[in-house]
Amino acid sequence: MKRRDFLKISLILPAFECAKTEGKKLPSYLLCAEAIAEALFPEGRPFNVDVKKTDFIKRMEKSLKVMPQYESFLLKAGLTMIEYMPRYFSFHFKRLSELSLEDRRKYLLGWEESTISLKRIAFKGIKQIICLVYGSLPEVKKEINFAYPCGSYGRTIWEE
Amino acid sequence: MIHKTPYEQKKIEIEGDVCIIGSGAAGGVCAKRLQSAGLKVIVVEEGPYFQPHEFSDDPLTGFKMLYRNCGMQFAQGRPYFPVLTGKCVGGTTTINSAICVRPPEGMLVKWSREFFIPTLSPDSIYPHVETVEREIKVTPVNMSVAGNNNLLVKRGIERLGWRGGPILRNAPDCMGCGVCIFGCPIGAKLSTDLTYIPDASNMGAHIFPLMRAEEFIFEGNTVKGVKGKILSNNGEETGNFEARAKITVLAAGTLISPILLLKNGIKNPVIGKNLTVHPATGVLAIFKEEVKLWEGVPQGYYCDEFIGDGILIETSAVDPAIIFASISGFRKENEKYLKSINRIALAGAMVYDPPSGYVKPKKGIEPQIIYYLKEETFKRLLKAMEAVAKIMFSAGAEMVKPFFTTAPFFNGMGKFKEFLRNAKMMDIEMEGNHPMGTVRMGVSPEISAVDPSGKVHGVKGLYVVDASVFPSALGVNPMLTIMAIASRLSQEILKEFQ
Repeated sequence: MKRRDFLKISLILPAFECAKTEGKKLPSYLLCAEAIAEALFPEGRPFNVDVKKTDFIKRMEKSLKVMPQYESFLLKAGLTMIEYMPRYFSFHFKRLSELSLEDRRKYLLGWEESTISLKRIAFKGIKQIICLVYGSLPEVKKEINFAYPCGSYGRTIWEE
Repeated sequence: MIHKTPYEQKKIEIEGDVCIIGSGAAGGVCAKRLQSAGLKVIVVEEGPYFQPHEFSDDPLTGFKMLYRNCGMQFAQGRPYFPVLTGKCVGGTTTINSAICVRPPEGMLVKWSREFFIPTLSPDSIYPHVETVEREIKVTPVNMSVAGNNNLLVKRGIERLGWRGGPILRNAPDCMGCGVCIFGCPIGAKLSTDLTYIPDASNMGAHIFPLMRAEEFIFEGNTVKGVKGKILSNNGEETGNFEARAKITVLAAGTLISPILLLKNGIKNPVIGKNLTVHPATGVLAIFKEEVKLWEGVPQGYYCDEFIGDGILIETSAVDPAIIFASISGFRKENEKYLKSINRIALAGAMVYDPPSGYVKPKKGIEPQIIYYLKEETFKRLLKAMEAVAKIMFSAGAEMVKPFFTTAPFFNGMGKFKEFLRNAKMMDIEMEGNHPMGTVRMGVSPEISAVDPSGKVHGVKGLYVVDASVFPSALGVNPMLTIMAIASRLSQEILKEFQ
């Protein structure tokens, strides 16, 4: 399959799926972000933080809202694509968030180390935002014993 | 007077002698110099005004409050990398690490001789450097608050016998909070929002944050001020302003100044071109001892052993959330790296780059940045990474990781070098935090956009005083040079009133 066709299909199918799943509780891009965070930082390996039991989704949603419109759109589109692609381009026939943790890690490793530079770079950008949100969680800060010498200060966007 | 809430009015009309667009390193200095000479100065700044107690240590909050495009300003091309600039009163001086490096004499000589710019000669610039250094209290980092990251790098540099020392900064009372990039919460960093801008304001200048300059007011071929939009704290347009002045000074930075010129129909083939950014990358290292990267002065020690090759090594520290992006992954070993987060040290290097990019208008005054890293610059970055890895190993690091998307940690120089030999340019993780050169200064309009006094070729009443006028990349952190050049060019602007 040509790269251009691959990209077309990868954009069209998630869009189709998105339309189908409207009305569900959480948008697929948020489910996908949570699934990636969980795969990057599985509970107990090494931090004792269960992403699902934290404010991660709420914070991710807030981050997408405060981001510039275009970047936010790109991020949402990228996450939606990653969420649905395993259904069509792997033998799992499931969405990313429905895969087991180990299958998810294997699948995402393919994105992280892809030979297609565009895919690798896009995933790097998505990962950076997810890590920023994950790192802002109080549970994570406590786990790594992180505090600036001047302590925590100022009103944050999470409180607005 | 600092008008903190201009959005309470639907329309603002103001008149003065000089209208300065931007309040960063260049705009702040220029405002003070011109106001103290008795002129009536107006400063318009797109970003909001914050006091130190209003900053936050949360990265995403900090990016939203103080950075252009929430810190999501990227250069497209090869590779894709962030170009972080400030958007607040104080501009990038509010969010930088307060590094003050004197402009290298060789570079000033080159600018004055090769580009025939007498205003940028060492004799012309160094007196202003000295004045600025006194005003912003430039002092070497106090190593007792520098933190382990700086001390480890210092140890490595000393063991190798390389040249280096504590970085000179405009933060004499720094306590090593580690949060410079989100604004100094104790006001120890003497950025322009705490120095030049309040000084100018106390002398009678009018400072307007949240006012975005968009359109020059032309009378024939003369610029007589600027019009634009008043913004709310969230960046929504709430009204219009018109600032009329005899002279308009652009100090909006390398990325915005050329966009304003182009949007206003000022034609010159050089405007927007010749972009240089000082590409910067780094090396992470895992040590046996605790480092706690976020404690201490973020950038406190330098090594200029390779300055002749266009490489300047400086320690660097970031929030752990940013480190997570570099060390997390889906392989078994990533778990081990994450476990070592408290033992990770970081040093970076920035390199000299020839003109490799350009900016063009995207939406409104937002720039589209295009930059193609040249092979020679990439090689320089690889050499810089190798030098930093040597420093880390000599300081006692167990493993080091270059800033490449696909790189693991290496436990010896052999494998590290082998990785670099096969590394792909697209995978380098770099930043370009010192944009320069898009409104280049020179004598002839064919190869430059402004003349040696900073006046835009072919237009009356319009000056540019920021880093966009640099004829080439500087090779060292540019804040002090920008301030000194703005101070020098203020003298040229004053001549218009004599």
